[in-house]
Amino acid sequence: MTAPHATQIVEGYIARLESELDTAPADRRRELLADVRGHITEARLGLEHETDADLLNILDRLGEPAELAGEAMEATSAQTVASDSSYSTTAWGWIELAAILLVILAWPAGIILVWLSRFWGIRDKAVVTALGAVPFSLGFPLFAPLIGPILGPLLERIGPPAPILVGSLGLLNIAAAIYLAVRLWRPPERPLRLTGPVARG
Amino acid sequence: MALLTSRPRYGYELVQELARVDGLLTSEGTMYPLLARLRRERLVVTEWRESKGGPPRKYYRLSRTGERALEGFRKEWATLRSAVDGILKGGT
Repeated sequence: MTAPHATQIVEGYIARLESELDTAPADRRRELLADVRGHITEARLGLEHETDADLLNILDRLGEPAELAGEAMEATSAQTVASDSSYSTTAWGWIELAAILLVILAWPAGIILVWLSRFWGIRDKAVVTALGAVPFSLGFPLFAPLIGPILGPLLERIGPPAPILVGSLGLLNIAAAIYLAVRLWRPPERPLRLTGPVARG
Repeated sequence: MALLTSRPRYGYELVQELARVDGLLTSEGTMYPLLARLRRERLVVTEWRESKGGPPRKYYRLSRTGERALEGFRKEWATLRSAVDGILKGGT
């Protein structure tokens, strides 16, 4: 049996929620309104002799429309910030692809992008930095006065295979790029952050 | 999310489960924006199913990413709990 003022009570609540969600994106608004309508329907199914007071209690437990809308907008703005910031913690994008490419072609630029990305963890970044630092420091002219005296006699001792050995150090950059690419498919575990109503005690 | 480990549940069912725990859910309706967010972040996936004697229900289940996130949170929680327990025991 339907409560005497069921339509006014329920539709009044939905209208208030709709108005509070005025500035929310259309899909979020539709989803929340459908979820809330579904909730009210489920709750009403459990009532044998529905009264106006029962309905008011259901809506009271649901919460103020402004509170629900605020929660929806908060979730929306958090999502927008993540997608606007060129990189996201849940999906990789151009910054990660450019980083992989540049780690091979222009290591300093590549490694900066690697550290800027929020996708890879600290351990991944450290591994890639260590791998690329070896060929970079050997090939960078600024380090020549420091490395030359150590490396020169060493290469002399190695003899003819030395140029091949030094040249193959560039493979470390390729290895670093491959490592980064593999980590794109097997991202590190991320801690779950509880947000919203569950986090409130 | 932990409630979804054993089986998929529909929104109203999840809300009722959480409401049973005193003080955990102040407003039942605020669960829905949270669930929508989990879905957008692909931590849960949804599926509509017919129900007996009512409208179709939207069921939520954990995705693989969700399972990993939950596992990560469980580990963090265990560490945090033991740290807090240690402090509380030391303070009494």
